[in-house]
Amino acid sequence: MKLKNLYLGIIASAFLFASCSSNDDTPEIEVPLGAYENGIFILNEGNFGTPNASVSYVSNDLATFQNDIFKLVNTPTVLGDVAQSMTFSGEKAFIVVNNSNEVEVVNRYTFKSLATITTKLENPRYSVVFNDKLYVTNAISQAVTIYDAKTYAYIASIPVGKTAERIVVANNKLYVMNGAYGSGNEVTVINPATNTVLTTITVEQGINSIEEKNGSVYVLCGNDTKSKLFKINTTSDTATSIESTALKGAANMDIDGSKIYYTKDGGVYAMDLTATAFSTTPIFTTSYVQYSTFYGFGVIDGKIYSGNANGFTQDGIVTVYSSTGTVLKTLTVGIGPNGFYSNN
Amino acid sequence: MTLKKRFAFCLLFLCQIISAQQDSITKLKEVVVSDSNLKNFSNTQSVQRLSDSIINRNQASLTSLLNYNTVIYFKENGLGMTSSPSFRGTTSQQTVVVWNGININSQLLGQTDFNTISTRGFNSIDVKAGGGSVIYGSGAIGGTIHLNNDLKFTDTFKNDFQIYYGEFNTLSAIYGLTAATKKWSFDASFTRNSSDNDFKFVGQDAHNLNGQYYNNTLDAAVGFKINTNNSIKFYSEIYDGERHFSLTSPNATKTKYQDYNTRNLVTWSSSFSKFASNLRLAYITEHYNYFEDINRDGFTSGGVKSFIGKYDIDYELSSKIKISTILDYTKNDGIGSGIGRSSREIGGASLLWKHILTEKWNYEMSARKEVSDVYKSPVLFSVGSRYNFSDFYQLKFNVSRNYRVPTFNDLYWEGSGNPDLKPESSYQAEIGNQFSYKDFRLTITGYGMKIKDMIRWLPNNSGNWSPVNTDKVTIYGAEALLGWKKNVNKHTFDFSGTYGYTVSLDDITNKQLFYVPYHKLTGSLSYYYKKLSAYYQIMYTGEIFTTSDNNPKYILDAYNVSNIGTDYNFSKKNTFKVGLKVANLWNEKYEALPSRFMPGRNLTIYLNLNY
Repeated sequence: MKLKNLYLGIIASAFLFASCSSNDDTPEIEVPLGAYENGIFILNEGNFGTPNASVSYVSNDLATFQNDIFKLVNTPTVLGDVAQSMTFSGEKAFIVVNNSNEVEVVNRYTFKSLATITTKLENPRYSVVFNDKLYVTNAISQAVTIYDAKTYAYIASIPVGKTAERIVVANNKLYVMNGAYGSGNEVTVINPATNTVLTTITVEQGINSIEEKNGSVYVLCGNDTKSKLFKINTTSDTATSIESTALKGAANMDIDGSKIYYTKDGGVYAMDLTATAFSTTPIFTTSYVQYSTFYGFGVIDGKIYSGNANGFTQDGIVTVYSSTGTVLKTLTVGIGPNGFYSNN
Repeated sequence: MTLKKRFAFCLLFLCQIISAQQDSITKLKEVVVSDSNLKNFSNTQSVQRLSDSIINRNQASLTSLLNYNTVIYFKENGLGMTSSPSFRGTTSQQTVVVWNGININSQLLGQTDFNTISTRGFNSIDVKAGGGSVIYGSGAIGGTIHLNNDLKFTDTFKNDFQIYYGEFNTLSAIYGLTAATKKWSFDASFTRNSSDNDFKFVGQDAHNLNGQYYNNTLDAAVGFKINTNNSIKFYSEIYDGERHFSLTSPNATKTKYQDYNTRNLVTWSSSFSKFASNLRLAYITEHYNYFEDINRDGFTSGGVKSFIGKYDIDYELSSKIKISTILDYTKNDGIGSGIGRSSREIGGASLLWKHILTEKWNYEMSARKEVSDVYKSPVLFSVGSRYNFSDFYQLKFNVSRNYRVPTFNDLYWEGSGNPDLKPESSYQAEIGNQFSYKDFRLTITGYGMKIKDMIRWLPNNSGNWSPVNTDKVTIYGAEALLGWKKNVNKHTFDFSGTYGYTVSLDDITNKQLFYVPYHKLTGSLSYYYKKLSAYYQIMYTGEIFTTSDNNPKYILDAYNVSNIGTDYNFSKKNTFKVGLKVANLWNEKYEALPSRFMPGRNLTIYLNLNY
C-alpha cells in the first residue's frame, strides 16, 4: 500500500501538475431522531438504475428536518432503486421500491427495517393494506400481488391485464388506476373477497390521480384538450363527472379536508369537493419545468408540499406553502422527491 | 471449469519440454496502413500508438485497454457492461471510433460502446486527441480512436494463438493467421471472449449478479497488389455479442442486450506520377436486441445499415506541397422500435493542404463542408503547424472547428424526435510541446474548446421528452504523455505514463460537468531480461462528481488500481509465452459509476503462441 502511494507520488510530481479540487465540506453524520411521528415523510425516489432512493422527515411544525432517515437507522441496508410509493398499516409503513422489485417494511415511528418483501414483485408501483393484506400493483406482470401484512408471506395474484398503477380501497373494494404517464382511461374494480375483477369503469384519457374520500372514489384525468374529474359511486360503480376545456391537463389531485387540490403546469388550484366546475384561477404559481416542478405534490393539514426533482441531476427541493401560497419553508432533500406522507 | 484448469496446467508443463531456438531480429517490413490520412494529416496533433504487445497485455475490451493506457475516462456500468468515454471532458458522443479509416460510431446512439470492441484482432490502435471532423466526420471533438488492420507485403506465414483464462470463468482466446507474399497479403483472426463475471464486491457480502457475457469477433483483411501503381484491399469484421446487464439491487428485473455488427470495406489505391487516389466503399450494419426481462419473450430491437463511399485524390504540387480532396457520400437506413423506418443521406467534400516550408517547419490546413437532407452543417476546418526547434524540442499548434450530428434516436424517436436539431459544434485549439532526449520522450499539450448547441433530452410542452440544442460548455485542460526506455546490460526498462487534467464547465452554472474527473493518470513499467518480461500498470482516477451541482455528498471517491504480470518465452525463435497476471493487485474497492462496483484482486494465466 505504501509502495503504491510512493510510486504514484513520483509519477504525479514528475508531471508538475498541482491538484486544485477540494472536498472540505464533508456532511456531518447525523443520528436517528428515534421518533418520527407527528411529521411528514418525503419519499425521494432516486435515479433510475442506481440504488440511491431515500426518505426525508419533516415535523408538522416544519421545525425538525432530517434527510436520509432510512440510511441513518438501517445502514448497511440500502432502501434501493426508485422508491415509488408508501402506505401505512398500524405501526408499519410499506415502501414500494420499484426498480429493485422490493417492498421494504419499516416501523413507521422508529423507521427500523422489519422485512423486505420480494416474492412475485415485478416492477411494483403502489400498494394499499386492507383487512391485514397488502395489495401491490405491478407494471411488468400487470397484476396485483397479495401478501399477508403481518407475516409478509405471498398469498395470491390478481391479473389485471392492463396498466396497474395507483390503488385505493373504498366500500370493501379495490380501485386500480389503469393508466400512467399521461395515457390510460380506465379504473379496474376488484373484489378482495374473491380476488376477481368485478368491473372496469371508463373515465377520460390521461388518468393521473385517484383518491377515496367519504366512501367515494375521485379520479382526475387531464389531457391536451381538457381536464375531467370523476366521482365514482362505490355502490353502483358508476361515475359522474365535471370537466373543463379552459383548464387542460390538470394533474396531481390531492384531497385535504373538504378541498380538492390539483396542479396545471406551475399553478396550484383548489375547489370544493362539491364543486360543479373546475377552478381555473390558481391559488399561486411557480416557475415551471416539466418533470421537475411538482414531481411530488401533496396537501396535508392545509399546507401545500411541492417536490421539485431538479432534473434528477442533483438533490431535489421541497417547498412548503401555506394554503394561500406563502412560502413557509424550503428544504433540500434527496434525488427526485415524488411524494409526501403524513405520519400522525 | 476444472477441465479448463487442467488444460492450462498441462500447457504449463509442456512448454518446458519444447526446445528453444534462436530469436531473429525483427526486420523492417513493408506495412501498408489502412488509414493513410491519419499518417499524412495528423502531424500537428498528438497521436499515441498502442502496439500489439500493449494490446495483448491488457484485457480484450477497448475500455480496459484505453483505461490503463490513455487519459480517457470511462463511464463503465460495471465490468464488461455498457461503457462510454469522456475524452478531454467531452460527452460520450464526442469521441469517434474509426475502423480502418471509417467512422463506426452507432448511428442510433451517436457513440460507441467500448465494451463491444474486442481489441486483439487489430495490429495497432492509435489514440488521437483533439478535433478531427474534417477527416473523420461527426463526433470527432474530444478525439478519435483508430483501429487498424495493417497489411504486410513480405513473404510470411504465421499462426498466432493466444488464450487467457482467469477468475470468474473469464476466457479470452484468439486464433490468427497471417500469410503474405510480395503481391498478396492475408490477415484474419477469430476472437472469443466470455465470462461469468460473478465476482464478489470488495468489502461487501454481495456478488455481481447477472453480469455474464460473451462475444465473438471475426476479423479479416486481404490485400492484393495488381501492379506497382494499383492495389486492392478488403477489410471485414463481424461482431456478435450478448451481455446480461449486471444488477444494482439484488432482486431487480434481469435484462440482457445483444449486439450484432458487421463492417466491410473495399479500398482501391492507385498512384500515377504526382497523383494518388484512394477509393473506399464501406457497408456497415449495426443491430441490437434488448430484453427488458430475460424471463419473458418480448424484446425491442433496432438497427442501421450504412453505405459509405469515399474518394480521396492526393496531388503533389511540388516536393513540399501536397493537396488532397476527399469526396464522400453516406446513406443510413434505420429501422427499429421507437424510430420506425427512417433514412438520411449526407454528402461532403474536404480539401486538405500540407506544406513543408523548411526541414523544420510545416503546416497543414483543411476544410470540409457537407450537405445533408436532414440537418444544416457548419463549415469545418483545421489549421495546424509544427516547428522543430531542435532535436530536443518540437512545438505543435492546431485550431479546428468540429461537430457532432444528431443521432437517429434524436431525430426520429417516435413522438419525441426533433427533426429541427442542429449539429453540436465546437471551436478548439491546442498547443503541443514535445521533448525528446535519447530514449526519453515527453509530450505536454494544453488545449481549450467551446462547444455549443449540445443536444440534451428535455421535457417539451406536449408532455414528452424531446432533444433540444441547449447547453454550452467550456473545456480546458492539459495532457502529458511520457515515454522512457533504458537498457542496462541485458536488462531493459520501458516506462510510459499519461496524465490528464480536465476542466469541463457548463457555461450557465459554471459547474464541472458530472462524470468528468479533474485528474486521470496511468503508468506502466515493463522490464525485460532475456526471455523474461514483467510489467506493472497503474490507473488513477480522481474523484468524480455525479450531480450537476457537484454536491460533495454524491462524489465518487478517487481510485487507484494496479495490475502486475509476468511472462516467459520458452521459444528461442518464435513465441511460446506463458504468463500470469494479477489484476487489481491491491484489492482496491472502486466504482466508475455509482453502485457499479468493479472486481477486486483476480488472477489470469495466459499462453501466447506464434509460429
